[in-house]
Amino acid sequence: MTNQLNNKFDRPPQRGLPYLLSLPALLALIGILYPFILGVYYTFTNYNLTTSDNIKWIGLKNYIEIFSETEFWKALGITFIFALSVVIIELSLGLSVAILLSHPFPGVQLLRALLIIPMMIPPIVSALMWKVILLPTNQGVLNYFLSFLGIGPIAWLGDSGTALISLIIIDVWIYSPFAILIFIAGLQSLPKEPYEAARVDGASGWFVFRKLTLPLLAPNIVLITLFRLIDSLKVFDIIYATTKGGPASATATLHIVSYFEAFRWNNIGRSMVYLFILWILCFVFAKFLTKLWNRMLMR
Amino acid sequence: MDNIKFRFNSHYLVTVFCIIISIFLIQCRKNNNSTQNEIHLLLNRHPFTESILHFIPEYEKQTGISVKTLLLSEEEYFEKLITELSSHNEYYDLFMVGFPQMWQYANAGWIEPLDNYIGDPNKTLADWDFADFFPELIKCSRWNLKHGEGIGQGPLWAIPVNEEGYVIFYRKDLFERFSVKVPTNYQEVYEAAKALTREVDGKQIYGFAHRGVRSWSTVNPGYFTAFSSYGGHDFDENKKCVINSSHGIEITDLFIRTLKEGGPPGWPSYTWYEGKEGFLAGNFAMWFDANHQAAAFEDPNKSHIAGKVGYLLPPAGPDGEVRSNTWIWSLAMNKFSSRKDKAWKFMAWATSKELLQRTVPYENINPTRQSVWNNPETIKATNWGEGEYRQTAELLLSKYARIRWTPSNKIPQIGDRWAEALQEIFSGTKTTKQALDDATKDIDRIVSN
Amino acid sequence: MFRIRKIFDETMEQDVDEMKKSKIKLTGILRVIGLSAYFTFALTPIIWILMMSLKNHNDVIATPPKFIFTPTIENYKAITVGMKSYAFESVRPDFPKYFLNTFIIASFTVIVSLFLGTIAAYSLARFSFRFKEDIAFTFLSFRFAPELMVILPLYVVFQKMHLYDTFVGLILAYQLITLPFLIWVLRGFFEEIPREIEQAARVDGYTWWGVFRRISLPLVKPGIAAVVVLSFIFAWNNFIFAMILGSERTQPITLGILGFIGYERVLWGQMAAATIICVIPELLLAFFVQKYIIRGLTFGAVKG
Repeated sequence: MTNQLNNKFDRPPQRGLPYLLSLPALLALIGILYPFILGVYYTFTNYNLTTSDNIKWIGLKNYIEIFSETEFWKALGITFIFALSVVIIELSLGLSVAILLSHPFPGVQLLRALLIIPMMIPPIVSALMWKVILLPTNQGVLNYFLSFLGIGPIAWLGDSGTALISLIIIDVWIYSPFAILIFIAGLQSLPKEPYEAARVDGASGWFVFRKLTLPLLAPNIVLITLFRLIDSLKVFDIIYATTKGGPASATATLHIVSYFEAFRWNNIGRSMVYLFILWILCFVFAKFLTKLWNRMLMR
Repeated sequence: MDNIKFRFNSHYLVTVFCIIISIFLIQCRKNNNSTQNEIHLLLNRHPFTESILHFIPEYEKQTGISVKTLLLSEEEYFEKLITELSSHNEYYDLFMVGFPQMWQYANAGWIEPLDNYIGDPNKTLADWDFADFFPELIKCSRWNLKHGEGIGQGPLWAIPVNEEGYVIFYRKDLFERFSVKVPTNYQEVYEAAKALTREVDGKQIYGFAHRGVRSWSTVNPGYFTAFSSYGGHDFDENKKCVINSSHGIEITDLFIRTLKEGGPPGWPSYTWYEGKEGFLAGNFAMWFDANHQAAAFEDPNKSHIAGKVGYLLPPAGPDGEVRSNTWIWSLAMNKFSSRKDKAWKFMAWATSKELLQRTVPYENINPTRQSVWNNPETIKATNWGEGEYRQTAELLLSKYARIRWTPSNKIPQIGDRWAEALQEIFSGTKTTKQALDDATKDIDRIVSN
Repeated sequence: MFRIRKIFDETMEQDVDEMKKSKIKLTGILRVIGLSAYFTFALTPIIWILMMSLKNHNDVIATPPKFIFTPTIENYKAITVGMKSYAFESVRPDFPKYFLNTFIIASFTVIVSLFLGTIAAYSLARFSFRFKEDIAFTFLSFRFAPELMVILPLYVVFQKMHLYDTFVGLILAYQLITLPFLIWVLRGFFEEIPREIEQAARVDGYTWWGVFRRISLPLVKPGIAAVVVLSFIFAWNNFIFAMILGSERTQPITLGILGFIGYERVLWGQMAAATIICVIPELLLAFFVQKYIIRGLTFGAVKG
């Protein structure tokens, strides 16, 4: 087939048609997102829930105030540490388990079916259940198990050193299945020829993995990174249900701080600044990743 | 060719649009139904609210008014409530508040003052008997909207339905077995906690526990009680934050040291229910929290420690004074409600002698009416620890338990910051003085904003 | 131009043959170890929740944790039909209602998303037009908006439009969760369909609509199945939208489960039982389309 022919068929039958087709979806979403613009407007006001009749424009005051506070930079750092660790762990764990699961053996279907269960429990509930499992004394089942190995008791969510790690474990538990599923899918659609060629050349397994499998899986990696990175930058449910940002502020991510500002302290203006910055972060990362993705599709 | 076909295909899109729009229209019409013969309640999970749900069908039958309720857990409840009130939504007529919320919402003008309803004989029958409520609790429900003062003055914002004071629950059996002295001051609490943090019959026991999550509700029970007993205050007369006074630092240091050396690991993750369950399971020797939890501790169906619990009044400070903090749940009315008379009618019914008495078997303890507290049935139901419970509870109610916070509409933010400081001290990132100094600075800024 | 896809099983069989010759034992052992490690991690909490749902309260809080106990179905009874074991627990159970609410909201959300999303995804995949990538990215960017940022203003809008506490309103709001994801992934599926097939159909006289209905849509069925399951899960698990934008009429299951945190104590057993029940519809859905999920994602979520 020639490119010319392709282009002819790619051209929509009616110039407006593609817009028309996207319109309903776009309208539905924009309808919901009008409030978003209102939210951005609030970042420039002193909007406090308890004085909602009296919203005053205060320019950049909220931004200046927040940027000069250490809480903000700390929250930003924690958000990044959390999101990056989660994505890296889920990618590597996801790929390893997917490789193990992509070869047929008795029971593989069952395992693949069981795989997805952690994702099905609402994250906020999983987090509550994990909190019971991670109780700092031997009342918690994990510490109880560890006590047989002579370890602990570890305070898990109650210690500033281990709280973030505990949250990462919970997040990995919930969302690894997402990465595993997509990797299994990717592994199954790998083309066969390059592998045969490599086999003929007598390449080692590790070499094949590094030079062949990984590059071929790159789009999967980008896809997982895209969705997991955005969602973990916005992490809320599992921290809300467990530490609420504590101990001290060891797990106070941007979303959690904004929750405190809005729902507990009523400072909508300040809260929206945190959220707006969070949105910008997600936006920048997603833009970068989708570019990467498009480049890969062009190949 | 494409053009002709396209027109045909657009039917599909038109149909989808029509469906969506018609659903919208149906929706809008449905909402115009009259709701005048209904009242709506937004309630948190609480023995009081859960028990009145049983009696609501009776009320509906008697009055012909239908009562719609939404019951949420505490956290979600307050989030929902502030969203509703701040947008001046009239949907919910009645809701539950504690005093920090009461101050906040009254200050914002969201709560209907109740004096006119109580004073009007057409609206309130004489046998409702306003004077029957414990005077101290009514005092706590009045505020004149002036920051830093005025508890007990000004309009009545809410009707109290449940009260708690703070006691140290302690395991009599453990204290006896290891012959540890029952503490009479906070230094002795520290020593007892350390002595009882030990292995007992192969099980690790921790001496002293207190709730610890990053929330103002951590400051409120035992900690604020100890803090006040040592002469600490949150604000001075000039409305400056003084939690870093020398008294404040002294007791905070001792309190956190007690938790660190004589308490369970991971204190900052302890919610009230984890602490309570730890005590129920027999993991702690002392637990400093709301006295009405006794109901669970003394019930052998729920407790591993029934019959082994003693009730200790909060120890006195260096000057010999006991100053316990308190908490009160009350029912309040939405200022924007369009059915206020109906709402008040329900409120008067729900806070009547008869109804409040009927909530007692559902563990709505402590009662806010004297007649209910002194009712033989209540006496029988609360006769825990061979009368020790009632004795301490009465002392708290009459003498020691007062709101220790300085009235302000920013208690949640102040308390959250304060709790964060306590967690910093516990995890050792800051010294006691440093942490409280920083918190003081922040709290001053919060209040001045 | 041709993207040749080999059938998976064929490849795998050859791989297995290959390995049989050399080091099948070692890799086999490693696999067993690896998989058991992961599945221990993944399934132990589930088993723990299951056990919790069969315990009475005393056993739940016991220290050390109890592994041997007399199982009871009281918790399940209490949340479904209601039971009077302690005075204050006998409140009529709201759980079935919450369950039904969530079911309605989640299913209709997915259906609406499918209606709106499929054609949008198709046009983004198939046609070339100005601002195509921008429109595609706009769709995705709706997913970035932190929930808390939209929720309060949205609440005010909903009240004005009488959408507050209505299923329609919630289904609309839930589109934020499902629609961008669905469009983005389905677009990949459509792009995967070899153009030649569609071109052949067009030459045969089908309109684009005919091609879409008769050719493309059936081809991406497995993809749709996969995306429906994932969207359904996302919608099912949300809680903050329904909490703020709904009231007693539309409360979802997530809030129902959180509701077991009472004032006097947490009903862990009932909470665990509710969690187990809550997972069942998702599990059923996943099992019904299970064979499509992996195939669906293989087919198009990403291009190899």
